[in-house]
Amino acid sequence: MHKIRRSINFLYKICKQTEKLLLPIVFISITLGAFSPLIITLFSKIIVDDIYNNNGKCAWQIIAIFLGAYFLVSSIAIILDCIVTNKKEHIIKKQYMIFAEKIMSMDLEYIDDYNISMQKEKARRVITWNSRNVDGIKNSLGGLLEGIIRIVYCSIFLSFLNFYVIFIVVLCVALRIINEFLSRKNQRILYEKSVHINQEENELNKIISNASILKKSKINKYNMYLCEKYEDNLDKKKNYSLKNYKISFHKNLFDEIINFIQKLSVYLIVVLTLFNENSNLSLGDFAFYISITILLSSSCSSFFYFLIGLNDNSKYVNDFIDFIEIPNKIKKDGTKILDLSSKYELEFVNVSFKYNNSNDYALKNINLKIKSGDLISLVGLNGSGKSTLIKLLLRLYEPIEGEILLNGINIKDIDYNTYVSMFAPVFQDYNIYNFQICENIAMKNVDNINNNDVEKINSLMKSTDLYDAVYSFNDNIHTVIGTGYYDNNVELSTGQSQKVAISRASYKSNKIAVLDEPYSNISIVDEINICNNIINNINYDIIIMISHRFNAINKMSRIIVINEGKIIENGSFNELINNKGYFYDLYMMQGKEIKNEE
Amino acid sequence: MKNKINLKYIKFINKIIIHEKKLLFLAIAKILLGSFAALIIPYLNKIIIDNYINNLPGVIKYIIVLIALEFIVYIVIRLLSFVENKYIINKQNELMSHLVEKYLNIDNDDLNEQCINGFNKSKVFLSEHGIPDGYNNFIKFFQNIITIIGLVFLLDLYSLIIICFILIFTIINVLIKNKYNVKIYNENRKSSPITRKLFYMFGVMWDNQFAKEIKMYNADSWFEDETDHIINDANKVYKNIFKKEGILEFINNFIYIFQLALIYILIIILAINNKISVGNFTLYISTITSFIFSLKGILWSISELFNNSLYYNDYSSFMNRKKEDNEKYIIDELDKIEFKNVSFKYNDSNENVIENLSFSISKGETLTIVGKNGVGKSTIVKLLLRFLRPNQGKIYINNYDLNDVDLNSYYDKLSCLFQNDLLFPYSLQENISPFEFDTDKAYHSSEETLFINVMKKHNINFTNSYSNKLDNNGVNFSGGEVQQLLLTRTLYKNSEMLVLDEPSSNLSQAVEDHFYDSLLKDKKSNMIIMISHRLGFCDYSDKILVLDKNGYVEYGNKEELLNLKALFYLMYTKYYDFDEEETI
Repeated sequence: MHKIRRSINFLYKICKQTEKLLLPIVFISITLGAFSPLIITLFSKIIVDDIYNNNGKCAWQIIAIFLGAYFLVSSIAIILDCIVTNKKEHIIKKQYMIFAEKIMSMDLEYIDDYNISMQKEKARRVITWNSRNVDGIKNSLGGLLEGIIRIVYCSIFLSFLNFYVIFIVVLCVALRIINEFLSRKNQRILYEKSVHINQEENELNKIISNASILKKSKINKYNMYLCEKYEDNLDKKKNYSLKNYKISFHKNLFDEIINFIQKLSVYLIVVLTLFNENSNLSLGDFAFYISITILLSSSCSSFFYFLIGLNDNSKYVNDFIDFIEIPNKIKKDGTKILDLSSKYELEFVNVSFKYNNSNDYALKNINLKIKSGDLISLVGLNGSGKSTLIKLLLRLYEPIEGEILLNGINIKDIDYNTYVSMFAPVFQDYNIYNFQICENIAMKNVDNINNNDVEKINSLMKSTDLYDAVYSFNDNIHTVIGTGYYDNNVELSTGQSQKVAISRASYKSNKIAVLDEPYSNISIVDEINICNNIINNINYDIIIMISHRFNAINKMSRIIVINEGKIIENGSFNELINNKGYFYDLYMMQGKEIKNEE
Repeated sequence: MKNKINLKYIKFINKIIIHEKKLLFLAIAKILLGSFAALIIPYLNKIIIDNYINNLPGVIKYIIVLIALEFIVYIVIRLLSFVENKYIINKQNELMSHLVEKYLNIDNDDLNEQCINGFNKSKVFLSEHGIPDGYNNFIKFFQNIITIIGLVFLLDLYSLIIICFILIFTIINVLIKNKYNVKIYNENRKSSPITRKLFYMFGVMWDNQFAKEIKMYNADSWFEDETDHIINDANKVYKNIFKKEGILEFINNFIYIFQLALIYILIIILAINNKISVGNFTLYISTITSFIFSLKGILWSISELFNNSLYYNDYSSFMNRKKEDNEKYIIDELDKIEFKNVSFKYNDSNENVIENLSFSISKGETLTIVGKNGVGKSTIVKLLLRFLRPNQGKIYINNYDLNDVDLNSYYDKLSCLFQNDLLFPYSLQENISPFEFDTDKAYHSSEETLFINVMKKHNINFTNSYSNKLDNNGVNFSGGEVQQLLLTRTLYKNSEMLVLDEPSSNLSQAVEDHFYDSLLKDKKSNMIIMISHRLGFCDYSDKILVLDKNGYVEYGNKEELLNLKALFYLMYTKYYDFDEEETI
């Protein structure tokens, strides 16, 4: 009951936000639709009686009235239906948007979590599965209303004939409902098991709808392998639907039996009443009552069908609501205001962190101070915790113990947007969006990019040595890049894409640069140029850079060496070299190649 | 070809049904039983009316027998459908597998956006307009025909006139519907770029991969606005479609009512003039709608079949893509690879990325290609692997034009490491080698790349999954660890030629050194093509190819290039100077 209420509320909320008129229109059209079978059956009865008793004296008037009424009702219903289908589309899109907003605002910790990603997959399936989402709830509600109206008038008419008929119909319907309920339950259990088949299919489709992946896959015969995987998935899907068929087959079998009992007894009762010489029933009445009983039984079953459907659908919709109502752990409503013009001092105090799915600490008792003017290089082997440190700093994750302070204020208490706006991050797995180059750099729509912005973009592209390449394209900074939905777009090389990512970061802020392996795909000459440019031209207050190569390291004022989640060395390049510790070993290992040559 | 109704679709469905003997049998049984079942209740009604008030026991006997018969027939039909589902789904899967197989083996030249679209459309065709739909429409078509013939036998000959009436109107109805269907189909086509754009946006917003960046750049509001715009555009198009559908419905309704009016007038006139009995009149009244629906059903199935055939074009044109079948040269052993005056230009650019490039590499040699970003290093790899074709010039493998070489045999001889290479959310084992897998060999390779340490660190073995997308216990590797896995795959294949595009990116120095050491140890058995922006590997190379913008090329061994005192010299000295500066 709770779930049904929740999903109806959700439907109401969505309708209120997008299409206020939808629900009233649906109810009007349903009410009209509910009466249309009555019009037909009443007409047949009247016209047969008229011909039989009066030799068709009023036949023409009856036909005219009937057809007129029928035309009117059906025309209105069509117009309303048309409006409903149009508005329905808006509601479906609205659900997509709600889902998108939720994912974009969700804590990264949850997004990376496997259980939540399964929950997300369920939610995604619900909204892309038309009969299972909010639209399904709307349909069920409409069906219920229609059922009620029909049941009421059918029962009134039948009570004139024989009460037993109503009794039999109700009994059969009750049996049918139990049947329906059981099969739905089994289907739902089956569905729960099948979620991963769909996830598998999604992944496969994502992989094979990318031309460059397909070309590469041929080298190791992965194309054949993917083909096998696809067939495997088809097989799994087949087994799933066969099981589903089996459930519905059992259900249908039982339904047929109930149908048989119902039909037989109703026919017998009506014929017995009709053939009784005391009754005044006419042939028209016979046709009328037969169709009314059929109508009653079908409306009863559709009423309960929709009732069960509502119960069932709301379970699916609840999957979706559960997902979008996952509360964020990280609070974004800090109130402390930060003076953006001042100098910064970042401080890590006893910070520890551990990922959800792991027992070991990724970072343990980190103490660290970073001041304005610092150029910091984070050094360490793969998996030592460098990236985690940066995620904490950027408030993508929150420390389990300890706190991070900015100018003495815990960063949790600082307004999230102000805080984030200070950083210029480049991640290892940066993305290129299927938009124009200038949009990719400014991260806003081209309509919002004015001349000043273009100048800024141009100067940044010069700093990153992207300018010439971009202006060699036909549409210069308005060239659409990336792969997605346009047919004839330019695909940048990996190095160029990385430069776009660096320009993007520099465009965003010039305060604190956070560069996670920014140079891994850039050639050495470019690397040195860009590094110089970032340091000299863009004038960051603070640069924090992760790099496993030491080419740019002597430009940095401080080097922090992390190993197994702990800071083991911290100092300038010369200090660390003289220290002859861990860093010295790492550095020497890289230098070995050069030394051998000499 | 466009928008024309395609009879080949009918043939396609026919072929499947006739080919599958059991399916044919099921179909015939279903058609006969289905139409028989539909006639039982009208027949019962006729008997009741004919014996009105007179013969009560007879009527009751009939009621029991006929309803029981109907029950049995329906049970049999359910059973048949249950069996038939299995066949249909098997056939469907078979076709789908064919399609996927065809797509995954398509020629590299044809692999473009258009082809991917064609594939996706074919998939939609198979799942939505394919066999289940076509088969059911076929069955309905014949069922309805037999039902109508049966109804004529139950009633009198006047019913033929009525049928003609209904037929004329229904044909008009269907013609209009078909015309609109083509219009709606075209309108749908028009909306497809918008829909794609919309789903790209949702894809970006829904995908975990983008979440981090969206958060840090506050891109959510931009994307939401963008999507709102696209939704608005889409709504305009959809509105048009719904309008067209609405008008169609309206016209259909009007025709339907007009038709009803004419039929009623006809039978009333017949009844008043005592041409038909009152019993039959009652029967007419109650069966007229089922008449109309049966006839409509026939034409409806036809129009559905035609409608599906519109989509069949997508499928057939994809499946009928021609493959070059001139004879290919099968490579037994790689001896020599040669680029001769190769030029290449991307479609969307004005300048050649590669201009007049010539170089060669023979068995046992190592070639390093160096240069800045965007000078076409990766393009050379793509040309070498036949992902792209040169605009001018030729590439020779063992003196055969690469275009005439059997690609499978060629690919068997090489292992490649790409930038952004592909990994799949399956087990490590599957990621290293798709088919047969030798654990000892894999351990050996992973020792060379130190991937074994990564496995120890995460406490996993080769059966664990890469990524937790499909498996709760899967491991998500960091960038460097991924690169180590990729290198392991490359070494595992152990082929005659190694093509390594930036192998050291994301690797820590220790791993990189270890990898180069083990690579150089058995260098003699391989041809190695190394693409790098770092010069470290040049010292071990027999040949070096230096690329710069505007097609500038230096080619030779290290000493030759240093003596040139040009770009390579500059890069080389800068690299060393830089490091010397550090060591001071």
